[in-house]
Amino acid sequence: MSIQWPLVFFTLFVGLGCGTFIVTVLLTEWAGKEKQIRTFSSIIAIAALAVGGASSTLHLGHPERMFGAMAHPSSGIFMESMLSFLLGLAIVIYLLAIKRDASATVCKILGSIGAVLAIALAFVNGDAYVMPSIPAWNTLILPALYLVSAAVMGCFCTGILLARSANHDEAALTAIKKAALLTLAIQTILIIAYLVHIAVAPYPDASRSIGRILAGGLAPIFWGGLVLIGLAVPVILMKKPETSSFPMTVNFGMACVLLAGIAFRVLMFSLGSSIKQFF
Amino acid sequence: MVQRTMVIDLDRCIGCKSCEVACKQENGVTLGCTWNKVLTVGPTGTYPKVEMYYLPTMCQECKEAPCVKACPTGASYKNEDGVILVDKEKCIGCRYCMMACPYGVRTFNEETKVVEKCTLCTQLQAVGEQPACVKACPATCRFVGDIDDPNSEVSQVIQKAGSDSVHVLPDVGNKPSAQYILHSNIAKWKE
Amino acid sequence: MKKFVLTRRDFLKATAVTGIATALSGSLKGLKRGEAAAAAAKTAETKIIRTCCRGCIGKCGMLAHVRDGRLIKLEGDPDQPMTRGKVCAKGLAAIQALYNPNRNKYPMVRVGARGENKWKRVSWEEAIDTIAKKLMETREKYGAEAVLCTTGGGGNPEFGSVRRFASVFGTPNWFEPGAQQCYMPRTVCYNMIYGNTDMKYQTTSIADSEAHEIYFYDDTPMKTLVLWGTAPAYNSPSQGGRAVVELRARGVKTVVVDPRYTADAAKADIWLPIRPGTDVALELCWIRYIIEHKLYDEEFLIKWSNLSFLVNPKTKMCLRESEITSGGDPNTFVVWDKKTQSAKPLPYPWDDNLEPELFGTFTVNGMECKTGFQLYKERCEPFTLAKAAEICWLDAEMIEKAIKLYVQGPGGLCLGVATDQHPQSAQAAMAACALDLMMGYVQKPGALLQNFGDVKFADSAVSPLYKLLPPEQFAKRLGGAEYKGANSWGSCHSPTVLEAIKTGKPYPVRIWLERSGNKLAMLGNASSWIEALEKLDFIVHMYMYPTSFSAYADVLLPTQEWLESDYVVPPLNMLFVRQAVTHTYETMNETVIWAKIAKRCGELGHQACKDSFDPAKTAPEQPYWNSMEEFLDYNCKLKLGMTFKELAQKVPYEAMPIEKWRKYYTYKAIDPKTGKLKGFGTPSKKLEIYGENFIKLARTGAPYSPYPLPPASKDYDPLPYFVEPHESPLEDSALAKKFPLVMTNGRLPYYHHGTLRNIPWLREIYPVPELWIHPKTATKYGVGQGDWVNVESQRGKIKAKAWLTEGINPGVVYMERFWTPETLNTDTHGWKEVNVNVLSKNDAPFNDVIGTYTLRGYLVKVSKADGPPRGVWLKPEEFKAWLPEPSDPTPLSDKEV
Repeated sequence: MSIQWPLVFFTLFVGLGCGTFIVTVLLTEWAGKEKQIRTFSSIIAIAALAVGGASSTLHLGHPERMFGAMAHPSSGIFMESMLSFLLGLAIVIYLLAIKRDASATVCKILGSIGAVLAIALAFVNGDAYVMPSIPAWNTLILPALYLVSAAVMGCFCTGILLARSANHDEAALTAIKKAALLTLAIQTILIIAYLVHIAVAPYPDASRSIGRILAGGLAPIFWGGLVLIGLAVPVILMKKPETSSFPMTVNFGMACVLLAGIAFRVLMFSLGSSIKQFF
Repeated sequence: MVQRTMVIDLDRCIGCKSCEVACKQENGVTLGCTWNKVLTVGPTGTYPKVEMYYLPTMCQECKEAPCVKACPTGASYKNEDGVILVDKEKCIGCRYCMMACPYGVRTFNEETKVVEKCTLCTQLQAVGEQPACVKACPATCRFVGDIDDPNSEVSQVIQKAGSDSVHVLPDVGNKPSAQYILHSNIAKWKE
Repeated sequence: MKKFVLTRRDFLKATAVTGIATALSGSLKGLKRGEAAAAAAKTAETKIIRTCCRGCIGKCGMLAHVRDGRLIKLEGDPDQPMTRGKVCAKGLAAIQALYNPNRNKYPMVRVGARGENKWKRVSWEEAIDTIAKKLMETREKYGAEAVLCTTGGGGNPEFGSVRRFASVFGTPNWFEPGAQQCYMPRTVCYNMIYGNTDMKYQTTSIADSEAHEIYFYDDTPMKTLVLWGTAPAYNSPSQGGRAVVELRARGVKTVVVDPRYTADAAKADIWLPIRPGTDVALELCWIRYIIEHKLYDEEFLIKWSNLSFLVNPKTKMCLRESEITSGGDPNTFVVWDKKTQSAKPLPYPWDDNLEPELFGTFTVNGMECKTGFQLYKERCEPFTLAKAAEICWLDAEMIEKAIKLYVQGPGGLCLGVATDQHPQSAQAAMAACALDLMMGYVQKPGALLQNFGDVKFADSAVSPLYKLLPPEQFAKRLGGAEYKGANSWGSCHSPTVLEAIKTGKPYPVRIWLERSGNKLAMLGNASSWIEALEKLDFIVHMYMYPTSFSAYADVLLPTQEWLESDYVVPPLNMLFVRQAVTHTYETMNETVIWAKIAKRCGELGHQACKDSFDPAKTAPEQPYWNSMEEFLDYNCKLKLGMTFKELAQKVPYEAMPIEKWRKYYTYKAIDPKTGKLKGFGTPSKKLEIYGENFIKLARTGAPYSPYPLPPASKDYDPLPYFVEPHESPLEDSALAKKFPLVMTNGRLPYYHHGTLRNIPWLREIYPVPELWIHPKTATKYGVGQGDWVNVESQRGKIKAKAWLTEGINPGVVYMERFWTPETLNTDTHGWKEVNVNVLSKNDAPFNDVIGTYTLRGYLVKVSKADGPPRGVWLKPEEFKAWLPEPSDPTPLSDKEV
């Protein structure tokens, strides 16, 4: 399949938004640290969702009819639209709660609802692509990858918010670095699992083969985009012990995982040939 | 249940592509868009022991159509005859249905920005006529009718062919209703 | 009684609604039965006109839907008996031809230099006057023979028009790039051997609407059909191809002899992928096998062929009674009687007391005389299964299997155009005809060679008016004396014409009036004609739209698409019509254009041209006409007693009851004039499988030449013989080291000759020509699937898109003719990029009887190219520029001149 750029940026930004919100909620509401970043991170989450949503409309032939997308519940797009709307609403309510100095419990509950919705949305971003017609996409590993990709981006984005926050706590930084490494590790395992899926998926074809990924036309994207920029560099960055250069480190790390996120999505589309493509 | 669909006798198809042009003319299909395409399968084997057949491809009118499930607006729907159609006024051009189709037999019209596909010529059916491709086919290899009706022409054609020689495209749960007849003395069916 | 124009309401009641998809805007959702009909009823009135296609020579029945004077839809006519409502891609795309934005609309004369593409519109009167004046001037200065007229098979031709004009104007020189390279070799040789029949031509050609038995697939006892160098699925999908599908479905076995694996080959019981140019070797092998295993119809051959006739070893003619007995009959032949062991005259039809030997060498009056069949046997002797396998690059076992199928009769051998395109054209036709006749596959149910009735509207209704061509002019026909078979159609030898234009020898040719599509895409060795074009004083191109040839012309005349023209079409025992559904701009039917030119020449003082309009001078042939209506009405009134319009109203019109038309064993009927068996339409009334009259043809021109001609340089051989192709790929050939692959051509179901390359829907399907090449060979030259390649011969170099296939011999490549209208206005003029005829060959050797040059079976080499040729359109969207521009009907131009 040709690369659907509007959709690449759609899920990239939605993933960024969801991931940021999830990680922030975990850090601020559940670990109770750095609550000062909550407002800005919620705004970033909404902004990212909005940018992603806008990008998705660029894909449409008739964006002016897009509210019709709420018509058919069996469709993955329906789920995405529904969840996006609900998540946006939840984040707004959460923001209002913070603004109005709601109690910690209330904030935690509202934040968690939002986080759950965000987990669902990030997962559904990938799940919408799971379909028997496209063997390379027909696995739950794919939405899992979308979720973990969101988590990775979320860690780095939250790290940026911490870095720019005036009085951040070293423990929080350490936690974020650990979280980043953990999500990167899970992502790596999932990517390997995905490669296994590609290798054993029914209706094999050269367009969606291991050979093409590891040694063929997609090798630069895989090795360069996913392995080097997406894994090796961020890991090295996150393992750096110093703190003074953390802002630059985490910015650079964010850039890397964003690029890797694009690379992953590009790879997905490139492998997205259907069982038969008669026309 | 009524399932209107197409049965094609590949023993007969000579790959003349008359059906492609008949469809274009009848339905005003834009250049670059396809509703019906005849592929050449083969020659397979080693010269001079080879075999080959032609494969007209079009919507397989799946009983569990993934394109209908996937459509967010309900623009892609199955009518009372089981024919899958696109309501062009509802289609938002997201092309999700095109991803969901295992065969890639839907087409996106860059001018109208909606998805199109074979309609089994419902406009001709409405006045008791056969689809354009069926009418034009020099080899009389295309048949359209209700496959769930054992007395319909398509059912009888299938029966006459014998189950060994009736084939369907890969089914990944979508249950394609279209069937192809190919006897092994002409060529072996390639999955 | 069916009307020829149905109102929309009638048609709705009977069948379908037209163009509903365009009539209704928006979605089709919720369309219930009857709703569409009601909705359409509110739209404008639509007429359905019954007509016949002329996208190719199939002439399939069509129903044309016309709304407000504009054609909106085409579909097949179920009543046409050869096509039964089916239509091919070419016919269905015809709206795009009719309303193509690049149609020639008005007569134009060149301003500026040739090739500058600057034109000025003129009136028909001025155009015809300009042409006539130039013609008269040239005739005065150089003689009428300095005028060359040509036509072609594509673009709605009426072949007879050019031949008649040439006769009337006084030039013996007209040709079409087909003719000697297409159909003529078969019509001549089958006629010489099988004889005259009720219908003018009787070969086994499916593409040329013969072999009528195949259309009776429901009751024919045919068991085997051999398709030799022909692909009905590609040359006539909705006509012959359709019938062959039905025959196969009913258990008829097929053998396909074809270098490439076509659709028909894929469905055949046996495919013989023969090396191009070696067909005669295979045919002689088949004959040898049939003789050796006594598979021929012995009784039939003894009674009805000249194979038992003794042959004079010196003259090579059959022995006559007058040669062995004084006072003997010069028209009675001599056989060797088994019973009396002596030579005996054979009265017609035969003598039951005689037992003629079919084989043997016998001494008669001191001469060693062999029978015709003995000579045939000796001719075939070297062509064993093994030898033929070696020569033809085939498997001996497969050849034998094929023969064994063929002899399971009744059946027939359909010989196609492939062998007509190679210098062994006549020999291949002779042998193919001999095969069917030896098997007795003639005039019986299940056979292809028949003598069915003539419904009197054969392809050309324009009579040739040969009597107006003076004998001294006839004698000047270029190549006419050497290639005497060509006088059957009356055409001249194009390579000889080319020489005459270039060198002025034997006399100058100065003007070219051309009525066809793209000579530069169709003529062999196309580049060799450029020098000629540049030398000519005056060139006229009559066609429907500009082609490469137009770039070199001085006057362009707009001719009609088939949708704008009228014609009588004779499918089987019926008559249908092609009738105009509209008329665009100022187009004129070529049948009228030539008449207008003749008329103007007459006015300028050309006596024969004047006489050609005078019925007293032209009788018994039709005088020239002033309009198509006049032309058609004359013929319809004469043959049917009604006008053309009246006939059109009566379609489907049964010209002859089917039982009367579909007659078998006509040779067994009694001839009322003689009281004896009718026999066959040859001088001897027997099948002249031993072609003695080929010798007479070579020496005198009879029976095709109206006047005696000097002998050809060599006698024509009464029997077929095999020669290795001139550009031989065999190991000892020096040329093969440089050009190792053998090139062949063949039809595609989306195009007809050089036409239809300007049709978006068809170019979308097949935008550029494919070069079929075996994967091993491709790998050798570093060529992958879909790569652009250079293809080169001794004559030139072009490009093509490689299609790797196991369906062709590794030593052979295939590609079809192609030119690119989109590069017409560049310096290539569209004929240099992908045109296989840049590679083909138009020099000696030529076929001895017919003059055929080499369009198939010559040597090429292939290499990887850097990409497609510049400017050639490859993507469907690029063809949007040629989408139809429908226009309103305009009045006919006939009356304006």
